[in-house]
Amino acid sequence: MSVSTIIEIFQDILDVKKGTVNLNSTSSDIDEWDSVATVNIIVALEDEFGIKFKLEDIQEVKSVKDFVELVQEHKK
Amino acid sequence: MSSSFKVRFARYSDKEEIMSFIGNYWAKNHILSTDQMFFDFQYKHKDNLQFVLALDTNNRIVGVLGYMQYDPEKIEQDIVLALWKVIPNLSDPVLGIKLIEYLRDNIKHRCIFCVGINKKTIGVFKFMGFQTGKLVHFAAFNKDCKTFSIAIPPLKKKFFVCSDSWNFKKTKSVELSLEKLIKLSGYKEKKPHKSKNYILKRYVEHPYFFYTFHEVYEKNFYLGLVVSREVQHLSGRAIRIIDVLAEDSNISRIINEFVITLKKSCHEYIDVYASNLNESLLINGNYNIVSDLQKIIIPDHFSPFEQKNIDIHFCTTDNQPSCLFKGDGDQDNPRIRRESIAND
Repeated sequence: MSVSTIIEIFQDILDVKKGTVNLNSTSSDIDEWDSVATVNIIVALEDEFGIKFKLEDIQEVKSVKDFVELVQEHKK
Repeated sequence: MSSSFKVRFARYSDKEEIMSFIGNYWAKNHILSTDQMFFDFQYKHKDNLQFVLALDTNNRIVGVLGYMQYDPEKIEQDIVLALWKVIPNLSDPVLGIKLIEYLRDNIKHRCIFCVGINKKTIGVFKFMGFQTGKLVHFAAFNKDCKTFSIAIPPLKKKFFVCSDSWNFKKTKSVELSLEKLIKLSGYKEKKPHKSKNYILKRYVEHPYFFYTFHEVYEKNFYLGLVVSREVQHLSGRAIRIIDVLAEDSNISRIINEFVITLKKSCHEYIDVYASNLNESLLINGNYNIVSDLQKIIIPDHFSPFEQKNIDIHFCTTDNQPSCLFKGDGDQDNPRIRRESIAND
């Protein structure tokens, strides 16, 4: 699993310039990051890494770092 | 993590607040925020409103999900989703999903679907386990029409090939025709299944749009009904097939033969948005697929008029493909309140 792939997924779905998203970014930092985008990111991560998240998982995640940790947990 | 929001079904007493919410957060001056009669027409069922609401700790509405039941008396419902909106940047990022989950958990259903979902929300519906797709837009062009004010037709228009064994009769006694329809075994098994009462309410009692019902016969055998609506812009007129009430296996052939109604008419074209049709039958028959690539334009918005193609996406919990139309759900409705019969 690569962190840069996850960041690329964020940039792609949020449709923002390269470098806008980093590990510490949260939804309050990026206007385009709303609840619909959160779920779209989750679906893209599921497809990319062949994992399946639950609704509760999404409620917990706030930052890009949280997403990275979530993917790591599911990949174990 | 527990959510600080409460989710429940709406009561009729919530109406005013829901209408304000729609005006504030969905679209200013939207007909559902300004027209009480139309709001009731669409969402009132007995003493309730067909909405699921999300409320904050002060009991203020922060999210709404409108829905319609095709036959509320049935034990297992076919439910179509409509307006779905949650205030942005709430502390619960999945509150919108919870509205749909609440509906799923609290109404026994066969299928839940929605026609006209926002492209951005396709991922959200996939996450919830829905199948998603796009209605295919077909159009048949009147070769005798000299001037096109509404559509941009293909350079070469098709000669219609129609069979003599088909007959389409406009009916005024819709109720009698629906009695025949609901007795057809193939119609009974349809999913989603619109009840007679739903069809009467949706199309006959519509406060602004006027729908025409055409009984369909093949070799004098009754196959169902085509529901159409005339639209116009400047001097141009066209016929839109809004729904076909028939067994799914007959629908493509019905649509293909329906072009006979264009002969000797002043209409520019007939168009239809639908899923799960027999594309090769229609393309090899009397229709073209509407697409920017083919340089064919058939508008979907008439007030204000926009001469551009519009994609209509759908989602469904049903794994089996089924025929969905523009008339399913809340798609074929005016967006702004008007005093007379509208032409959206």
